[in-house]
Amino acid sequence: MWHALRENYWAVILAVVLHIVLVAVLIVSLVGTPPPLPDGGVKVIKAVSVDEGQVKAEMKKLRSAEQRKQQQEAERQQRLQAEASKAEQARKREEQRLAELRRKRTEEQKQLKIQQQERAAQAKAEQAQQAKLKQQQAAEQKRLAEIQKKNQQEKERLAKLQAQQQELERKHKAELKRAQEAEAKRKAAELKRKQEAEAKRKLEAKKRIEAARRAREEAEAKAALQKQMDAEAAQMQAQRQRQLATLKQQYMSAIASRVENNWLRDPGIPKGTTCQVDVQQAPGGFVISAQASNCTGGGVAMERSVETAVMKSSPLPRAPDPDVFDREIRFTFTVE
Amino acid sequence: MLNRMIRWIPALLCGGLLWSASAYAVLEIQITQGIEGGVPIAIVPFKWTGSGAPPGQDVSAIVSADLARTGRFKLLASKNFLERPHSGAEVNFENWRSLGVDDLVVGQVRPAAGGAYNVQFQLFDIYKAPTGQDIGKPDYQIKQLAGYSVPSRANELRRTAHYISDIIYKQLTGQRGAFSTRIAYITVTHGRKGTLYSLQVADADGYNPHEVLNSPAPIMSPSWSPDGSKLAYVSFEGGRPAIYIQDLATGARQKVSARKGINGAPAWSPDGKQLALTLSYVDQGNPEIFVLNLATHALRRITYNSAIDTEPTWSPDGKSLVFTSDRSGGPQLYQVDASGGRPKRLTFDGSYNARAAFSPDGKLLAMVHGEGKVFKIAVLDLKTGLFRVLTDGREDESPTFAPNGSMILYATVYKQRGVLAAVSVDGRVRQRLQLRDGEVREPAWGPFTD
Repeated sequence: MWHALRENYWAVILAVVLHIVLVAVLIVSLVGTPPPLPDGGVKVIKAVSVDEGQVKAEMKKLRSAEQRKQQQEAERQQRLQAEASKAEQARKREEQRLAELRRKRTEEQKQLKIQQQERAAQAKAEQAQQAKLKQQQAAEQKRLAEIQKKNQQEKERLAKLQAQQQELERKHKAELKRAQEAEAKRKAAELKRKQEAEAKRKLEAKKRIEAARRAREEAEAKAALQKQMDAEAAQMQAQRQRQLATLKQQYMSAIASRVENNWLRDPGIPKGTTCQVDVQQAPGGFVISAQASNCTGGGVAMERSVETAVMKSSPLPRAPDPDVFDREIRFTFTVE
Repeated sequence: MLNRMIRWIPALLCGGLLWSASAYAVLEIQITQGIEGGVPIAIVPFKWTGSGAPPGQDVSAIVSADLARTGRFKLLASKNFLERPHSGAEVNFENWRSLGVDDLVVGQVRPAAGGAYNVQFQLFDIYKAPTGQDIGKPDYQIKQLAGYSVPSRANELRRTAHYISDIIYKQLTGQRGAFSTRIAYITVTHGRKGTLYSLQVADADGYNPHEVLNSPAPIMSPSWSPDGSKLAYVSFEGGRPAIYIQDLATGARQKVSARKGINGAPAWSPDGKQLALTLSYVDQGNPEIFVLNLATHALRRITYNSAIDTEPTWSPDGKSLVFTSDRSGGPQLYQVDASGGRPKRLTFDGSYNARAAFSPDGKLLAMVHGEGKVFKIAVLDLKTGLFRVLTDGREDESPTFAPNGSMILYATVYKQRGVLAAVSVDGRVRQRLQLRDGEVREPAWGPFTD
């Protein structure tokens, strides 16, 4: 664009000038006469009393002023008409000039276009020339780069080879060294292993002997302990049995004592009369049933007396230990 | 004890297993002590449910006295009662248990048509435990031993009470009660017209006496026929002793022996067909024992001895007679076969044992036992020979067993007056019978009459 502007600057300047002129005309026509200002509402008239003479003089004065004014106005109108015709003429001249300008500009544009076309063709040819040259340069450069690249590659290959050589050499050396070290290590390890194995063997042998000894001792101790425990258990068992036997005796005595205190029997029952009473008791000593049987005499009175003796004793004394409790008790009553 | 020891030894040796087995064995406990005494019983006064005045006889009081007299019961005084129920449903057994009674009697007297009554009573065993059949029953049904409603005419209330006593006694002792039986005895009154003798029959408790015979001449030695319908006795009417048999229902009398000399001490044989008696028409007036056949009037002489043989009594099996004889110097008891034979002396305790009476089971012999000038009632156990003095009076005489053998009725002197008393066979309970007036002698306890 800018390029195009630069190339046709005359046309541009012309265009700009034309535009400015047009805008000025537009502004002038837009300016014109302003609208009259409003008079600000109702006009307040102040009345003043005067005398007639004064008024007549005044009126005459005013009438002459009026006539003067009308004359001035007519002169002004004439002036204005003259100005208007002048402006009309000027306008017509201007229009003619503008038309001339338009025609010139069209001519110029035509000319410009031809020039432009010529210039474009010329540029194109130049461009082609340039491209060709550029192509030749690039090919040359590429060939040079190729050669350079090949040189580099050769150089790199050589370096690589050298490096490989060095690496191999280094590796070989390292290998050698490692082998030597490994051998030394192996030998040392072998020695150590042998030493350790020997030590271990000796230790284990010692351990075995120790373990055997300990096992023997433990077994002996255990056996002794077991023996002691057995003895203690047996002793405790025996003690428990003795204790239970004592408790059972106490329990039976307590029951017997209570039942005896409750045995009220008929004096008429002969001595030596016996009666058995089978009793069932609940764990709390509550008598569930008492059944007399096998009475050798005394009849109903004896049976009733012994059954009542047991029932009256309910609840029977509690067992001092659950192991001496019996659900069933067999009493043998004997009249002595 | 040894048995128990043997049972212990394996348990001690073998430890737990056998022990636990023996723990399930039955405990065996010997009871030898105990207290001799009456069964504690409570009799709640029966309630009168009628609108008017209560009947003249207090049934529960009569029952209480009956049971107390036997010595086999200890009656709880009513002032100690915690409650006064009149029917089983009202009884709180725990109350009675806490009072220490074994048995309880409650009841009520209801009015019936025509001025009669219905006496309702229940007897409970406080300690009776329920059995499998009692599940779901109320306590009083489980514990009830007897319960009856007894219709009674107004004038029979005492009889009804004795009947109730019989039922209770039977339930609690297993023996038949003798409360409904009667006794016969002689009263002697000294009035302005002179001395009057009377043969009377009364209830076993001495109440309700009826005169069978009265006479200004002595009446002696009444004896019951085994069926209780007749009495034999000695009457001195006309100045000489004679033996009569009188029917109690009709009052008809029959003179069965009026021989020369003594006609005394009649005793009915258990079968009621013979009468043992003392006669002195032979051997220069020496009293001997004879047996009179009441059907044929044939006499059989039993004793032949120059000493006095008198007061015969029949063993209950009718096979022998026991009589008093002083053939050894003082009066002692001898037993002889009912068909005669050699008498065997039975008593050796003391210098005076006379007027024997057999217990109904034939095992005991009651007698008057004299120690110097003091006479008491004693009992000899014929099987064991055990001799026991039961009374401690000064002039006790004429023992006679109740038909159930539980008591002995006898005559004694109390405040210079002859009265009747009863002693339990064990001698623990003695009680004087209530009698209205006069001097009372020679009781005879009648048999069961049904």
